Amino acid sequence: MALTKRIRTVDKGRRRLLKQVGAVGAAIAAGATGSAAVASAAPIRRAAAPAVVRYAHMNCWDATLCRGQKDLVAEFNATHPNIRAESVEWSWGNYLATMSAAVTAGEAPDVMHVGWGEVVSLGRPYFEPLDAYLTDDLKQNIRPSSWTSSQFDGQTYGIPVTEQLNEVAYYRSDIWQQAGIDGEPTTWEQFTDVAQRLMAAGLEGDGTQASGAPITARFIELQYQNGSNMFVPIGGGKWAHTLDTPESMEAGRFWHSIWRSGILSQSNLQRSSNELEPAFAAGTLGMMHGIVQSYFSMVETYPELADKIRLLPPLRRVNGATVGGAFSLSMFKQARNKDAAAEFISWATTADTMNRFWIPNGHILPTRVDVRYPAMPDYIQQRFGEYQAVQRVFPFVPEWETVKGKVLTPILGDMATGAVDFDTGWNTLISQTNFVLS
Amino acid sequence: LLPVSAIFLVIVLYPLMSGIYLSLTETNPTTLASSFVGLRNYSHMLLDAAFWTSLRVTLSYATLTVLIELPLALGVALLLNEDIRGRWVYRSLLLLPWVMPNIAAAIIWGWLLSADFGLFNFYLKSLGVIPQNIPWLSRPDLALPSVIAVGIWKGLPFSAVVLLAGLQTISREQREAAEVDGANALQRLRYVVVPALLPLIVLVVVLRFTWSFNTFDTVYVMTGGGPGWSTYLLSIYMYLTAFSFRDLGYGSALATVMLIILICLSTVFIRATTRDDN
Repeated sequence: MALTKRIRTVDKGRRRLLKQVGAVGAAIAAGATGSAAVASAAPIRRAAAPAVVRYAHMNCWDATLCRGQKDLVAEFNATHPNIRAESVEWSWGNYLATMSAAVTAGEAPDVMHVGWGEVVSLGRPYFEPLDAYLTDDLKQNIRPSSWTSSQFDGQTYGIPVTEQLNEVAYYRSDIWQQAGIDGEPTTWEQFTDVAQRLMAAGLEGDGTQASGAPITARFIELQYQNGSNMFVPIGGGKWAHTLDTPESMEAGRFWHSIWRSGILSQSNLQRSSNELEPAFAAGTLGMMHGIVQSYFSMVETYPELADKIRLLPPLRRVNGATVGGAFSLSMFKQARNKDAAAEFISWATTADTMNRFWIPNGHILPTRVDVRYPAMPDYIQQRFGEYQAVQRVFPFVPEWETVKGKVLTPILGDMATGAVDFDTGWNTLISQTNFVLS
Repeated sequence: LLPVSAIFLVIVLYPLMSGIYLSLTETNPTTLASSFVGLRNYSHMLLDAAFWTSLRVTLSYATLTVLIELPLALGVALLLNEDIRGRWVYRSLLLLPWVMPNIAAAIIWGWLLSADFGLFNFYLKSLGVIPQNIPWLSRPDLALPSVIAVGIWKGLPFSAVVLLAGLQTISREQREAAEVDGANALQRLRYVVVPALLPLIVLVVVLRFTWSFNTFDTVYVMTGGGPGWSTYLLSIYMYLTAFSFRDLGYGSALATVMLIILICLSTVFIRATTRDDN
């Protein structure tokens, strides 16, 4: 009782003080404007505070990209007076830890630009299903393959906005002309044949980024091309691998053969795009498997190559497939104002916004079919579209990161270098994957 | 005593105990929801091929680093203990690798050893030593020796400076007396210098072995643990388990085992080398 009374007394005192300060402030303001009568007579109308949308992204590692994101937020705020978007800049290096800490603290942002591997596999428990917000425009204009990154079990966890491909096959028309190669390979056998002819011409058959975990991407791509899913859900939240199926082993043997025959040299185990692109520009690689960004950076860094760079069509076995996926805009379940967050996502995924803010600064591919790069040659744009049509994300198995980092990366590395033979390596892959899944 | 105890409690004891407790749980890194699983993470380790492989690689890395570095450091210390012109310059230059940040050093060494554009390959090829570029960090037989070489380059200054400090405590009279008694340089080293330096040699071996056993940053930046298992250190496996595979309980169990191994090895080594004194 005494404490309540004391609080009330203090509260009264504080209100009295605030009134006095307010009166003094109003008098000063009125004096300054010369309208004392208005100040004392007119009731103070407070405008409704705009709803705040905190938008987290990892796009400030690059100054141009970062500026584009800031412009996007500024434009949204200028055109949406009732909502104020705030840019929350996370770094790629530790964003998962940051996201985890934010969720744990109940301070998750409202909207996040999420990587293609994480929307479903990691974000599923924390992201709001967005199916109720899907408009006809989004359904009709976003590529069907792009949705595979953010949809699982009949629910949509993000709206695809930009697309990343890991294994685009590049070649140089001038180099191939010198090597006497005139047709583009579309099958595994044709690929091997072309690579060997390039090697006979004194070039490295193929270059790829295989330093660390990226070694897994090509392996998985070949698995997908041969009709092996790598992992399949078997109900009850459990998954099984398909490594012991004939189609998986066949794809594994082909992957092994391109390493052990020297089409992919061991130098690739130390290469990222930083090493590959200069080698490609120097004309020492017959082909190069790289990320989408390599196209943009090579055109900018080596403008003399711009009209010589070509893309192979995605290889096909049982079906065409390449590894990649769509970055999405997702909404956290903890979002404080879901309607405002949905408005931000809806606006940011329109064709107009993509054309004005994502495409000029992103160096990525648009997920919408009605958005195009104005300066990109048609033959490149068309090929990227072919890749996008058959892109497949990494498996959504919850243990994926462990399988990738603890099983695939080291064991494939050993198989690629010949430290173990195919049969030993394959059996270890199976036993260790079983161990992780158990 | 109280402030020291409080600091020890907060900085050392609490994190240590917290880590050990974490190793007895299965913890979700996002929600931090945790369930006690007893010794399950440790029994899991016994069947985990990645653990045994990374332990073998780590022991090889730490042992070879110390075995090669120690004689080199002693040699450098002996040289710098001589009256040579500009000795202080050499002593200062010696410390450069030690003071360079590990990540920066690892990135630079990665470039130097690059299969495509590395300076090592360029000079070796220019001199006709090798016909074509060598992928130093992506050949399983060369990757571990390469990262060991970088570890030695980084750690040698510390070892040399410690041993140099010890050398300076050996009086000129002691060495001259041995010389008068007819001891040659090797005998003076064997019977005068090494016994006098033994406590510092033990210190250097224990510290450098511990640091090498715990090495993470340089190797992770240079090779990421690859190719294959060739540089997959226990510290890298622990990091990946906790933060990439998001298994905090198992990652903590690996860290606890690393700690126990280090305590055991250090105790055995210190006991063995100080037996005579006792």
